[in-house]
Amino acid sequence: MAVATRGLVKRYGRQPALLGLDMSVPPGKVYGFLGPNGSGKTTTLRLLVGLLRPQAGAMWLLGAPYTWRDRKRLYRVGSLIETPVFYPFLSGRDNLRVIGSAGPPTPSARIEQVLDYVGLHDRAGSTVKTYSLGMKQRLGVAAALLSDPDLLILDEPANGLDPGGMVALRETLRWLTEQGKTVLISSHLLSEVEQLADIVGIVDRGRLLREGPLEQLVRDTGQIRVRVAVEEMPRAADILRRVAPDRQLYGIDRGPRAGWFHVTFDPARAAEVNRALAEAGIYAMGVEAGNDLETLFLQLTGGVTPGAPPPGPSA
Amino acid sequence: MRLALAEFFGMRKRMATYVVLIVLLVLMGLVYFAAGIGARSVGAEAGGIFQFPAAYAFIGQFVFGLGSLLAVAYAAAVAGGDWTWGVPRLLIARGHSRAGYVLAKALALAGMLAVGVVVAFGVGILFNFAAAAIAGVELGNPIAGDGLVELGKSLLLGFPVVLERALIGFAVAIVLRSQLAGVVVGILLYIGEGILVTVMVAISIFSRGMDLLGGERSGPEWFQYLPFTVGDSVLTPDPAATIGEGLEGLILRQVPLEQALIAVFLYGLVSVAVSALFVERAEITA
Repeated sequence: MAVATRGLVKRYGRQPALLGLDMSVPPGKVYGFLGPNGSGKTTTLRLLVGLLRPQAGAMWLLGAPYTWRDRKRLYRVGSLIETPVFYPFLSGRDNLRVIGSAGPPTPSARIEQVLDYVGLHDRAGSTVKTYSLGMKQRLGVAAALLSDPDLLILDEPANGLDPGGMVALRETLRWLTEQGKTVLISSHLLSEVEQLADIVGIVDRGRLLREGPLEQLVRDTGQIRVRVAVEEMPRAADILRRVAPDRQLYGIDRGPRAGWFHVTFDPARAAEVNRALAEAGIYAMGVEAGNDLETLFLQLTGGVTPGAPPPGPSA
Repeated sequence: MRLALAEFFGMRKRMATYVVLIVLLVLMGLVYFAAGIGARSVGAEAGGIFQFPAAYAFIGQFVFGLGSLLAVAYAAAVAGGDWTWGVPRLLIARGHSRAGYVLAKALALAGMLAVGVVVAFGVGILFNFAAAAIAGVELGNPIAGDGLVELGKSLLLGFPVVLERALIGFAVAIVLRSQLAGVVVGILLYIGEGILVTVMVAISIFSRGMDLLGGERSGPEWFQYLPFTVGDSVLTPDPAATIGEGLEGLILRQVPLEQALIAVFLYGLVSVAVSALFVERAEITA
């Protein structure tokens, strides 16, 4: 594993931040680390780059056990933790020179190279205090890439980026994984992670709730919503249980949402559900399939009540 | 060393570096101007303070006296600014040694202070010539006779004192992890210690029954070994020969130069060690 943690515990005073976090980031993949604010994402990343020390648990970095004392392991790790930080009175290029003089040796040609990667070459001579948030973010990514790391740890890297910057970041990260690098990216921009990540880990209240390949997670926790006539609900429930055995199913039999069933099922099989109902002579008045990461995220982290009424019936 | 050099060159582009130097030079220029005018009205004998090599002591009082206070503020700004901006997080996350970061920063600070001291001393010599011209005093060659030796001695003894005091401000800012708090607390400590020493000197005078001129000078007392004070014994090994000394010179012996130098060295070392230890143990959350 490029990164692994087992039973990682971190408290700030009495305030728990991580309560036994287990995560596994395979090499050569983009790992999307998701969680609501205060869930422990940044604390985890800080622990991984030696800024904090855990109270309990173990970490592995780039295939070997890791503690904060193994600082030279970080020579192979590039990171951007929280907001990008720089000397405001220095230019972007000079900041990279200072950063490049810490840790692993960095040839000056590499500075120009990473400035090109993030599209900052033209403004590299301006002082950082004149940069927009998006430019600082790009400089932060450039700083993370300075040592040509095997593992890139990025905390909310898309913050402040304009759409063009986000596309460029996405392409850069994709290109890096094609080179065999591993990217661990934390974000609250679910659509970004959905487009980037191969593996997703969802954390809340200091614990990992779900982890796995994005497609599999969505498939396993996707939801199909189907609306039938209220008087046909008992028969429809039997058919749905047959089509999707052992899956969560509930129906709404009164109120304005009466007739809607919610079944936790692979959204790609919505047509199969509809056909099964039709073959039994039950014609659905509406079929919806929710298979996005956002739904999964909100269900797991309690952002919405699982199986809350759908936004509205569709014909 | 790479980081120390990069930090040193970074400091060159920092506004505070120039502000501190300009404040020192402007104040020094004003005092020299006033001294020149004053010496002109009093008479030629008052212009003796501008004669070399004695003039080096006068310049040193500014550069190492007022300069020390400014150096404390500057060092605190340099060290605290990093924490305010969050730069240590960036460097440590790259695998740089925490203690190494502190040492690099302290080395860069020492380099910048050395440049500042040399520049301020050089400008001080020019101010001395200007003030002497205003006073109508003829000055000889500043490096004739013992001049060069005195100049070298002033710089070699004065710089460690400025650096030691600056490193205390540096340590305070690192422990407080804040630029503003570091500067304010550093200056308060500097001034506070001065007030404490003044009070202790007054107590010493009263305990001797105001007999300032009679009897042997006593001491050195414990408060003369305090961090910001012990350097005075390095800067003015013979207080009677300097201008503007307080009453303590009349009743208290200075700390012996060797002891004072060792104390200055130890205080500087302890300041860097405390800073490094603090950063080693710090949980970097900002």
